[in-house]
Parts: sequence; structure tokens; C-alpha cells
Amino acid sequence: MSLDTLARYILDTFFFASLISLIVSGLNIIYGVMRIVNLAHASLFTLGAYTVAWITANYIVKIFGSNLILLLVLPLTIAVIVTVLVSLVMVTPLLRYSYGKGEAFQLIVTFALLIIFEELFQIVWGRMPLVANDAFFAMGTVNLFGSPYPLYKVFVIIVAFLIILALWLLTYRTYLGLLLRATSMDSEMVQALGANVIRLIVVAIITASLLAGLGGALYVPTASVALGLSLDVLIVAFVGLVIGGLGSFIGSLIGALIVSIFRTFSIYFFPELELVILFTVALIVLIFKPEGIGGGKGW
Amino acid sequence: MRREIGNNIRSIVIVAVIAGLLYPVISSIMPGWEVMLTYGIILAIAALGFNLLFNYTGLLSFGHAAFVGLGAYAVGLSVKYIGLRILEVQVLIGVLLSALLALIVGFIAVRYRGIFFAILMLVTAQILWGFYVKFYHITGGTDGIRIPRPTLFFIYDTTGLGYHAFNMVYHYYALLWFTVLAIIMWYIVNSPFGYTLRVIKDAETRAVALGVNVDRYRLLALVISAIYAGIAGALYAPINRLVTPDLAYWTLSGKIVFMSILGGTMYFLGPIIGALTYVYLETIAQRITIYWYLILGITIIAIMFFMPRGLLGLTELEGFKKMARLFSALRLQFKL
Repeated sequence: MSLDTLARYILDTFFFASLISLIVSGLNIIYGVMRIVNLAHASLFTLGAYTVAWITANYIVKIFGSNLILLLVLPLTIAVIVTVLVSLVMVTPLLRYSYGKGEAFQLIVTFALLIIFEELFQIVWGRMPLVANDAFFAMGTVNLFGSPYPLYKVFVIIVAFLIILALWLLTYRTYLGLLLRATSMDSEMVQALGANVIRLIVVAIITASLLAGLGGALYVPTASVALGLSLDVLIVAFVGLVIGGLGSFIGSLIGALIVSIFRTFSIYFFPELELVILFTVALIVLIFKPEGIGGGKGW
Repeated sequence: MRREIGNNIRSIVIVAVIAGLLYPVISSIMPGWEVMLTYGIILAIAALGFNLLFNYTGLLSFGHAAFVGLGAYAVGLSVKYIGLRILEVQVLIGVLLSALLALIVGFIAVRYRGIFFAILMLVTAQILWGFYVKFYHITGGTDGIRIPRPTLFFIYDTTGLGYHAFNMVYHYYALLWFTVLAIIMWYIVNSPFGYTLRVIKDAETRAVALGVNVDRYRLLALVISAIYAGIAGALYAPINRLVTPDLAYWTLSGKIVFMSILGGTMYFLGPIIGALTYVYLETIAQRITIYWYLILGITIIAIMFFMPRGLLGLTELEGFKKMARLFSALRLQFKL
């Protein structure tokens, strides 16, 4: 493998890890506060992606041309707002009233939500894949050991890094983060000490939705968005969660990175076997380290 | 222990007889709607398998479509490549494949509950679905495989039958399978094995302390459940006349979950009633609207929140009990 292929492989891995870590950390926040694995979380990622693809192709390019800053900032902002609003209307009430109702109940309800989202995407945006790669091409490429590499992916890596850093600061350096972490360890005690757990839950869900929507919005210029994306993302994120361990902030980031290494590897060499490889990785981790890398210790 | 409605062999036979008698009635009153009944009893077999895992073992599977698809493709591929048309043999192949898959996946998956088990099954189904779609030179891709008329009971070739005659014959054929399988399932869940599964679900620690090998019991439950779904898939193929990757897609798993909770997972008859109701709901909804899955999802959520016991849970309402008492009083009065 030549140097530029290797560098490309590493950067692609980091690019994918950035997107996955945005989802996995969101899943983790919700799990930490509510003990619910929200299966519909990946749908919010897809929602962000669809929104960006749709408004970029239909409005932004037509109205503003290919102004790079607008292409990057405007769709992203709108997508995040849309995702958070939809999450407030559809996801938050359901999760909030599923709180404490048993795992099977929560799984079935969020699974139903996944089905609903999938159908809504089909109703609103149809069966054909949407493409909006204007930002991707507008940013151009960077020279990577003699061969071009899209600058946009580097941009995504940097943005995701900053977001994760902000999330880390939020959870470990603010009072709100302290409450969130405390809830993830013992929610009854937090409630007994006078904090409003329901409000914390809503904050957690909104934060997670924001991250998912942002992830989808960042993803779309590099690839098309089509039905079934939610499930693919969900599965990859789940494998990341298995590796990193449920409820561990750092673990989930490591899990996202490891799952990206395997996924990029399979995409490069055995694209047909992507799911099989991810599945095998998840099974191996479950056999030898069932609690994951950082699992079981809270945040 | 709570007395459960319909948890006896008589109820299974009653349901089967009703499904048998309704067929000619529906086909004469509303032609075209009778096929749904056949689909319903076939899907009921899969839902029974699902519920053995969900209600009795406490394992929620989002991937039962994997086994349904495997059963259906066992029929499709055996027709396509070796010209096999004896349905019983094809069902047997489907059963063996489903059981094998359940053993392989279950070996690790049954150690986990909740989300891990659910998603591992989901991924299994998605892998198989991807295989059917991507390896189109073997499986025919999204076009699927056309299924010719099968030979039933090793000797009865149905090729010469007309459309309606075949549907009718096949309905009673499927009904036979359904009745036998439902009765077997009843014996399974009411056997010491079934009660051990319930202990595992309700008090796993206690089961372990009593010396039960929890993983082995769960694995066995998964294999039985997979066999039921596999048989359902194999029986589904001839009546559908086409096997497509949709039979392994995650939405089918969702439908199986839906049928079970619609009927009421707490009841033995729940998945059966749910499946029979489901096929008609789907048909009606698809004639009114094209957004069937939207309704499906919303209904699942509504049932979970407002009717967690499903349709059979309605029988526990006071009004229904009064009716039942009145009915039995009348029966005594007239010595029926």
C-alpha cells in the first residue's frame, strides 16, 4: 500500500469516525440519563441529511449560487433547527413517557418510531436518493502525498472534533453536565436532591438530537441520502456502542473510532461483506469483553 | 395464577375451524379477500414463534424476518436449482437452515437480553437481506424467484389447478400445518420446558440458582422459534408465487412484532388473533391510503401506551365478562 493510499485510508476512517461519534455520543447521553437505547436516533441523522440535501439542491444553490460559506453554514443551521424541532414534537414526548416502562416497551416504541420516520421520509422525499454535493466540490481538494483528497472531509473531521470537545466541556466542566452525569449514575438520588430529572431528560434528548442532525447534515455532501440509511447508521452506531460500552463517554468515542477502522477497511477491500465484518466484530467483542471498553462505569 | 382466555387446545381447534369455515364464506361474499385468510394463518405461525421468545422467554427479536426469508428462499432456491417441488421436503430444508442459523447466531446472542439480542437479530436479518439483494446471479436480486405450483403430500401435484381451486386447496393445506404447529406450541409452552422459560424470563437469578442452564434453554427457545418462522416463510412462498428480499427486510420483522402485540403477547392465542386481524387491517389500509407503514408505526405506539394487552386484553373488560356470563347462563338454560 502506497503512502497516499494509507493516508487516505486513515483520513477516511477519521471522517467516518467523526460522524459515528456524533451519533454514538447522542445515543449515550440519552442512555445515560434515561436508560433507553433510542432506536429512532439514527432517523434524526437521516432527517438532517435529507433536509440538507433537499434545501441545498432546491433553494440554496438556486438563490445564492455556489457561495462556499453560505453552502456550508446555511443548510447546516437549518437542518439542525429542523431536526431539533422534529425531535421536540415526535421523539421527546415518546421517550419522556416511555421513561421507566421497561426495556421491551421502550425498544418496541422506538422501533415503531423508526418505522414511522422511514415512511415519512418516503412520503416527503420519495424513493429516489437525493444528492447535494455542491459544498463537497466547492471546497476543492488538498494535496495528500501527491494525490488529491477532498478538503470537505477534513473540514468535517475538524468540526466534529470541536463539537465533541464542546460536548466534553459541557459534561465535565459545567453544572448541567454534572447533573447529567449524576443522573446517569443514580437518577433517583438526583431527584431526591431536588433536581428536575424530567427537565434533564428533555435537555439530554435535545442535545442528542442536535448532534444527530448535525451529523447527518455534515454527511450529506459526501454521499447520497436514500431510504434505509437510518438502519445502516443505526447498525454501525450500535456496533460502536457495543465496542465502547453503553454509557461511557470516552468509551463511545473509542468505539466509534474502532468501528470506523473496520468499516472503512471493509468498504475498501470487501464492500459486499461490510455488515458481516461489523457483525463479527460485535460478536467477538461481546464474547471477550461484553461490557465494552469503558462500559459499566457511568460517565 | 390468572386464568388466561384461550389457553387450551380447544380454542386452537375452534380458531382453526373458524378459519376453515370462513374461507368459502368470504370468497363468496367478498371475492379476493379470502386469500388474506391464508396469509393470516401462515403469518400466525411466525408470530407464534416470535411470541415463544418474547412472552415466554423474555427475548425481543427484531430479526425474525431472517428466518421467514430463509424458509422462503429454501423453497425458491430448491425450485430454481434442483427443480424440487415437493413442499414438505422444501419446508424441511427451510427448517434445517433456520435452525442452523439460529444455532450459530444464538450461540452468542442468547447470552444477552434486551437491546443487544434485539439488534443482533436485526443485523442477522439485514445481512441475509443484503445477500439476497447483492448476489442477484444466485438469488435473482430484487426481482426475486418465481415459485411454480408445489406438489403437496409428496403425490398431489397442484399444477393443473385453476387459480381459485389452488388457493382453496392451499388454504386448507396451510391450515393443517397451522393447527398441528399451534397445538405443538401449546404443548411446548405448557410443558416443564415452557415453565422453565417463564422462570428464566421472570427471575433469571433464581433460575440460575435452581441449577437451570439458562443459556441452553434460551438457545433451544430461539431454535424452536426460528423453526416456526422458517416454516411460515416456506409456506408463504407458494401462495405468494414470488420470493423477494422483502421477506427478509426489517419491516417484516416489525410486522411480526406488530401482529403479536396487536393480538396481545400475554395470551397464547394473541399472536394468532393478531396475525389474522393484521392481514385484513393491512389490506383495508392499503386500499384507503398508501402510507401503510405510517399507520402501522402509530398503531404500534398507540397499542403499547393505551392497550398493552392487545385485542385479547379487551376480553378482560367488565362488559365482556358480563356478556360471557350471560352467554354461559343461556347455554345452561337451553342445555346446549
